[in-house]
Amino acid sequence: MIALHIVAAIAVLIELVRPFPADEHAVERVHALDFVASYAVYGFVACVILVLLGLVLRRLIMRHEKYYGGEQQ
Amino acid sequence: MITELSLQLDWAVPAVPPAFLFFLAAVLIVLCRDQSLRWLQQLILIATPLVGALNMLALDSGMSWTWQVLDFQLVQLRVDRLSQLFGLLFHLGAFIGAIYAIRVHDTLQHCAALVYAGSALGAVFAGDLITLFFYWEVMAVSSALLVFAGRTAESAAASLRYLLLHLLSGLLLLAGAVISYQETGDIAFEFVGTDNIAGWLILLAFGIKCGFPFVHSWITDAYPQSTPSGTVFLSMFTTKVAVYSLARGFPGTELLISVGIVMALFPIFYAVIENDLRRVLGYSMINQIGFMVVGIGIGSELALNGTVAHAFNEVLFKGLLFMSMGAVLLRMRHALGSDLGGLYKSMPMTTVFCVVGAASISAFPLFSGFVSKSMIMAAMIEHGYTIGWLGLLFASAGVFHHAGIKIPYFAFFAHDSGHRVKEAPFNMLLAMAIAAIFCVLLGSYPAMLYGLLPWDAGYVPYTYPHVIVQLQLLLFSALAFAWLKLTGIYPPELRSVNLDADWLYRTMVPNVYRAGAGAIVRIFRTASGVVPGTTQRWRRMFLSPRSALMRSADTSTAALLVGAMLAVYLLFYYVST
Repeated sequence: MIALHIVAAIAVLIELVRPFPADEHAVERVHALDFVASYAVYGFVACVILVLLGLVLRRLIMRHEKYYGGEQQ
Repeated sequence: MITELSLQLDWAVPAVPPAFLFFLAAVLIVLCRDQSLRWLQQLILIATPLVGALNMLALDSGMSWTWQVLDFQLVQLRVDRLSQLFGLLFHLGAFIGAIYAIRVHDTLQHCAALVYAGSALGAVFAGDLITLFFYWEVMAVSSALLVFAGRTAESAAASLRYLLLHLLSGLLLLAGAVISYQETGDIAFEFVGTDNIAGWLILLAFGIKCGFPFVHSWITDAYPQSTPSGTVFLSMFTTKVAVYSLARGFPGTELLISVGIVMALFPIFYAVIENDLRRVLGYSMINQIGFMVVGIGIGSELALNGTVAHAFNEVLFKGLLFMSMGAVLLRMRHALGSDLGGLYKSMPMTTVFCVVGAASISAFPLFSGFVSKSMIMAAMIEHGYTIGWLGLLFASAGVFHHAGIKIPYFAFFAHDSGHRVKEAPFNMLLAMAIAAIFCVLLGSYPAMLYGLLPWDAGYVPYTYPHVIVQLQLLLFSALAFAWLKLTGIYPPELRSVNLDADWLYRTMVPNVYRAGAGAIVRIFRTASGVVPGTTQRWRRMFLSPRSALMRSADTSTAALLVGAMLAVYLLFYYVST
């Protein structure tokens, strides 16, 4: 857990220490994500949204295990 | 009726269409079904992909094997870089699957697996729509048998649903081929496009096999019902043949970009809340195919290279993940996230292989997904689809979330379920090891894979920014998972059924049918109130065992009816010409 935090921090710090070359064709620097650690923010936010929407989806579509009348396992 | 068999071979080694070898092997497997000949069955199972691969290497680019049937030139063998790549991939997949399945003592499964692999090979080498249709149908039946091989009431029902959808796909393909032949007089399988109705029918046929939205649920319905090794075979061929066919028939069809993005996005939500880990892999499969479909929709050389490279890698890492879950299934008799956990203590090797598969599908640098998925992403940017690109990036984070973390975490780590089982058998570990080695090898030395691709796109995956942003994306996704898990927001694994598109034909259609039938009965009841005896009369006519529709007719009557039907056809034929 601590290791994960350290490695994640390194991944961001390394970008601060050595910014990406200002190459216009660099795929990684599209307009939408043109700031430092943008991918880190995007990944984090995406996963939170994913889980929250997953919870909503679960309320909508989750049914009992034997919903389709399975005799099962 | 074969009137002419033209072989264009100037080889000392007689190279045959790869499908034939597999079909021959399947026949031999059936002949060797006696208990005492089990070793021979195992030998055939292992040897066929190897011999097949040697045979395929002897196939020369541009070689063809054509049959003249009636008016049609049926091309059994069209060898070019695209078909060769998939041919090689399917031989490799079949070999890994064979090792994984070798201890299974079930002639049905071995036979079905070989026919299935053979028909997949037949389909990718088919040069015309009729041949493609033939293999398409053989593939449908043999893979349905693999689902059936689960041999539970549930797997039998799932295999029927699976078969119906796949036969529908075949029917659409045939209809498209027939219409296309009527319009152009040509049945060659080249670029199809969506300019006419035939193109749309064929697109839908490919789409069903590809798992397009709303016709995707056969994947998540059937795959968790098969046997451990059956699912490994299933995951390798059907959808990849569909991707191949789309790449050949519909490159640059812009609609596919939207379809692919939807496919990449919606399954990740399902995967987060699904409990059966093999079904989670099914959803993640749809998600991965979504990326490939996007690549086909863009249609540039870079995008198509990315698509086929990703298909290649997906067979290996998804196969690896299905193998690790199959090993869990074998030892635990289920693969439900809610009842697993802590298995790393008793299945350490399987855990390692599963993590390699998870890292590959999540596109960690040095693992195979990294070098192929990024080509599609780069092509997205190159063609200015920024919004779509952001969607795919979301999907990438989502993949890591459900396939990269959830699968290994809930199976092997999480809370210790207290189960102490044996490690997977040696042959399964060996199969997983081979797949894992390929995952790392192709990810670390992408030139190996790039050299096989149909085009030379000059893509460089390992650049400083690419590696760093990918690590940021993945590590912060992992961080999000860890925090959500700690705070208890993360949805717990629950034994449940999540409604999906298959609800339409498993619940809604039967309900509508029942409601309709009930309404008709009520109408008759009302009518019988007005005219006495109506209900009895209708019941006599339709519902009693001796009524015209209910009683079974004898053979001669049936033959007469068929004869009459053919006569009507003939009549129509004369009227229409």
